[in-house]
Amino acid sequence: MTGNAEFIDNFALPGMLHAAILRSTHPHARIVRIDAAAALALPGVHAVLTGDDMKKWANPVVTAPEGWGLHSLAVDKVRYVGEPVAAVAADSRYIAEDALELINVEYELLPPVPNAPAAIAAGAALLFEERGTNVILQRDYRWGDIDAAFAQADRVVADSFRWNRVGANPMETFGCVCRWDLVDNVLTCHGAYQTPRFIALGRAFALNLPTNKVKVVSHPQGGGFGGKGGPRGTDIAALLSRKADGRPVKYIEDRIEYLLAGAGQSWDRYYEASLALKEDGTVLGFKVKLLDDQGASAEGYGTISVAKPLAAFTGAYRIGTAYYDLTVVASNRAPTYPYRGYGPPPHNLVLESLMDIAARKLNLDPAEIRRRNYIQPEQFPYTLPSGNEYDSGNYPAVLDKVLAMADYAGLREQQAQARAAGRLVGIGVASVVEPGVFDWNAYATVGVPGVGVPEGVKVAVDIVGNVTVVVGFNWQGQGQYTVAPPTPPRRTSARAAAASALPSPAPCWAPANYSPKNFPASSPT
Amino acid sequence: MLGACQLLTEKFSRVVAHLMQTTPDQIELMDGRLRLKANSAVGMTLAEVAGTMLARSDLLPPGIDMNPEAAFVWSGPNRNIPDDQGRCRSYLTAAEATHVVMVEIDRETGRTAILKYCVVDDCGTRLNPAMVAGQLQGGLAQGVGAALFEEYRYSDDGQPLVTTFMDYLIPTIHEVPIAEKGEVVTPSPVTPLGAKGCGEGAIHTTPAVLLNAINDALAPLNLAIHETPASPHRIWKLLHARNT
Repeated sequence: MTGNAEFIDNFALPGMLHAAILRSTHPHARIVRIDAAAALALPGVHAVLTGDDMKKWANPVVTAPEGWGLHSLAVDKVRYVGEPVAAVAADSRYIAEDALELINVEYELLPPVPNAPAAIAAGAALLFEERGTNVILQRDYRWGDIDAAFAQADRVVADSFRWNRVGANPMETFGCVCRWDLVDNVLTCHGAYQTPRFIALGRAFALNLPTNKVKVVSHPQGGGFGGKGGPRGTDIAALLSRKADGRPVKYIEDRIEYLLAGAGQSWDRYYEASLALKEDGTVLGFKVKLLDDQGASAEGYGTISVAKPLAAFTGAYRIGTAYYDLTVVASNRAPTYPYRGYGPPPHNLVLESLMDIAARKLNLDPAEIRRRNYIQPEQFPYTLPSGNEYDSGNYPAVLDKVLAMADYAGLREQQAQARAAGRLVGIGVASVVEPGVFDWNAYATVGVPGVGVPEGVKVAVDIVGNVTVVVGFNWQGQGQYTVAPPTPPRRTSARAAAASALPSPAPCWAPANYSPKNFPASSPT
Repeated sequence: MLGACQLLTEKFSRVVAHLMQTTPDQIELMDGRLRLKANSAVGMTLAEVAGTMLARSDLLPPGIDMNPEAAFVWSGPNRNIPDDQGRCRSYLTAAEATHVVMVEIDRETGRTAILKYCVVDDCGTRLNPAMVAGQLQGGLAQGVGAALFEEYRYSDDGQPLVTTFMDYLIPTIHEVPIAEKGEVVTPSPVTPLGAKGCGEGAIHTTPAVLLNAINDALAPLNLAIHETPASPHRIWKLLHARNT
């Protein structure tokens, strides 16, 4: 630990102003009037941004499916508590915060849509009136003859599950310093960006700039996990800079803002699911009905989150048929965002819970019912009913090893003794497949416009033999240094297997972070 | 990375072969030099090759791309288009893990204590085992949060009830066990280094295994919880609703 990392809050540009954001206190309301004259008159205030500026200069943020997004600062109505309504750039954050108190917003309250069941209830208020519905996406996937599987079953277990909102909480919240160069019409955004290229593209579309006029510079991150992906802070700081004659504007999200409506809320789901089984525990079919609450905007690409389970829908098991019915809705909760895993954790909870419910019904040990259903080592490559192909694995060997490590039989004995003494002791077993290295083709079926590519890498040698490696995404602990180490790998370093293709010692070895000018092709994470 | 280095090595080998009046297959890259396989004393350093490419176009093989760099984007073989039911090869590798845990629920507080946590995972070739262990432990911590504590609560009229860490409970070192970890290694046949993903597997599994253990603990009471987080408050309500 050197203390040399330049986290965004420690970064400053000459003439920099500080932003503060006034946020909606209502989940759903029409904005009748905003009076910001007193705020603008406060000494030290250089710009006040409201919905009128957004109408002139900005577009709703990009969403998937398209057309379910908001402006980064509310235009005409608010759709969640914490939605930005006005923003101030001032000489200090203190002055900016004081100025917020001088802004008067007159609201006309609308009936709220507090959750997903309310969103699909008859007569529900509409978040996007022009859409005529709160349903963002509704479709089903039928893989094989699911009805026959359930008809043939000796036993069907079914239950409903509720996964409440959770999300990423990195040590460092979002922050940025944006400068809109009014001479060249170039926007430069410094920040704790996880996905610089994605952010740059989105800013170009939202702020009416050519894509090659947006530069995004990623700073070291105090954690990410999906929580740094929001467009609002950047758009607001950028437009404040534009309004403040091109002076740089810093916005640092505080923890209350992050928890209220940052990019850290994910997976707000209601499930009904069932398994069809034979008496010996063989699973014949798996049905899942999902109601997913995206919150007030689909800007977090949440349809990816509901579609990602397709990649491992039936988990570690040979389940021949499956059915997935999904309904994705908008509500007056904060917009949801990607979180580590990007969707499967709730799905796995449902499948693994049903496996245990079935085991209990059939009087099988939870480890045993899993073993009976595992895909076998010789069956790889194995194609799931949902279409993805697993490359390899040895699930029985993994189970054997972990049962031995845990002394599973011994644990069961301890449990029996504890239960006899009246204690509530339980043992859990769960087997899960983690799909890795995505190529986005399955997401085309849920309205995601782009088909991405896995990460690209550029290696360059300069005239004196220095080697530079450029990767397309920011360091967040995923191990880029293993394959692109900051010092030349020694040939004997077998772990740096990829890097050993290049010589050692090279005079210099400089892994470079993403920069739009030196590498265009990269996926968003 | 490997692909880009291979492309660059091929390009450099063409230059060196041209200068040494041989063919690229006679050139090998070793110890920072591109040298003749037949006579390792004869070769050029990376700097000499790059310098030649950038400064002596007259010495280069005709038609070569003179830029001493290479970019590479890898994807797995046999990519295909999804059918109308979304079926396609969308992810390239499948890592797997089984977690085994033992928990105890405090009847008075509803609080779940994790008594034992074991993980065996197979993420293919482990390029950096310490990194794999770190990813696993970090994902496990977030999984404990999702399973037992964390929740963005909203009121029935749409007001968020969480604005500080007093309301949004993040597990600490006291709540997150350091898992006993083991591995099975089935190298991926599709990735160049045999590695699979490992950053998300623990958060994929931890909430499921903890809820399974909690429901195993509650089973003698004929109780079950199918809502996350299985917070102390939620479990306490479940236990005490039964008693009233």
